[in-house]
Amino acid sequence: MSDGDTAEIKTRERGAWRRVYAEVEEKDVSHVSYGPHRFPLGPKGEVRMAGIAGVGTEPEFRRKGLARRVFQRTMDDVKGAGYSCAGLFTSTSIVAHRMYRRFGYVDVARNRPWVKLLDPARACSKALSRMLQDEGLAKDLARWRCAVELRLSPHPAVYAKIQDGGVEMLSRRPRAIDVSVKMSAATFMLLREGLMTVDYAQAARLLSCEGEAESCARLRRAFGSAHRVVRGG
Amino acid sequence: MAERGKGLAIRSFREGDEEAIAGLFNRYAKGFSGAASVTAESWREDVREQSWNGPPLDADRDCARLAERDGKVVGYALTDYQPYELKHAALVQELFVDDVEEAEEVAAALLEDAEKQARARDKECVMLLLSLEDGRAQRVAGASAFWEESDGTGVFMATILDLVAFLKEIEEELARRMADGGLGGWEGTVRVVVGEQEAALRLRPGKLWVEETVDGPDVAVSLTPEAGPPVLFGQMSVGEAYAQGSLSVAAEDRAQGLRVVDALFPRRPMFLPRAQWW
Repeated sequence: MSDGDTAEIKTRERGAWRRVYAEVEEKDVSHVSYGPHRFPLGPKGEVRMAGIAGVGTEPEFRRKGLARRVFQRTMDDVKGAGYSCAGLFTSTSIVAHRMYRRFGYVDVARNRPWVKLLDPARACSKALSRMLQDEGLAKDLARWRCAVELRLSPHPAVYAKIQDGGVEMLSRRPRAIDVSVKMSAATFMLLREGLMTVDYAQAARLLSCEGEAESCARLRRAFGSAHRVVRGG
Repeated sequence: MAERGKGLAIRSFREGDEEAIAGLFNRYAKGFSGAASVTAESWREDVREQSWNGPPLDADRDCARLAERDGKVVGYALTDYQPYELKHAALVQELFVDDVEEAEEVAAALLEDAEKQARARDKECVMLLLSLEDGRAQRVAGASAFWEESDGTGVFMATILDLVAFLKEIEEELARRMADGGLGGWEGTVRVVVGEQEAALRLRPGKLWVEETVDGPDVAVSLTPEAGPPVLFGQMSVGEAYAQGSLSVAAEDRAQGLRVVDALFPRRPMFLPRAQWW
């Protein structure tokens, strides 16, 4: 039997909010919170909505059906508590969006992030350095040499040289570029904050990585392994 | 205090500003769904209580910055410099400007100020979330060199759990809408079906109440499960849903039936500037 079947589903209160969670070996591994929200629909009327938030599952407990069980219990509780409707914020770019649809939620309104990168070269340097510190890349890192062009639209391209396990930002374009990475500044920050996965960004054509195949794969893996999707709803 | 053109200045939050902020918020939010009015106390409490994604205003007065013109508060921005699970970003949670002359200039000055504050805190970017419908805010953000993530990322999803209870909660509002639509004197019954749920509205001049069911209604409106929440929350017009084939209306006088449904469920902008309401 998997953790998805054996985990105990529990609840605890915090003020007007209730947390529903799955417990495995006394550890909260998957959770949803809900609480009352007054939702005005005009000058003379509002509905009492169950606001759903804090949806998340620990990485090692994903794909076991735990989130579905916890969410099912949450929806049963919400209905039992007499709410006429429920609402949540999520992202269209994460798998939970599909799960919510299976529970009867539909898209009502959308917003988009607007981002201003304050210093693209510095942000790129920090991001690349962070990637190089990632344990998954440690092997053979000292031998990896790569000239990278990063185009974070609408900003001008920035250039970096990866060698001897470190990153050096270049003030001008090197003669040869091994890898060219293109994305918007907004996508860069969403990846950097773990709000979007590299796989999704590539599939949605929000990110392109061209050039020497092995370095491309490394950079893609670096982005992917250094960042995580943390927001469910 | 940073002085700007035409008597505009941006300054930190001070004790006693809550009243002006609440007034400004309420004037702005009046026409939106989803925006509950606030008082000075509830605004302050709300900011303090948001343990997950709220700015620690008590510790950092610059989380709230006010725009003053000739000594009068005309706008404010609430920025979280340590947003929940965002390490590198400053998140502008609220930015409202009164309907004053050159309001967009005031908004741009508040954004520029947020950027300055973020730099001082070693942040890499400033982020804000804008509704797809808010063209004015988008114009200001674009002009301030903010870049839109073209993939629709944030989405508010909803589900109607109990249609009868939902409509009962807004009985008075539905009556107001009928009056507002010039149909306050209409008398009859309306059956509302969303997917497998059903509710009935009974209308008398100036009065409306909700029941579970009705036989032989004067107007019957049927919505697909997909179109139900967007129409009931005012994010999709009756005409749009009708054109998409996700809404149908049956009535002896079909044109009148459509007018009734259109009056009951008008389109209304939704309050979506904040990352989350809760």
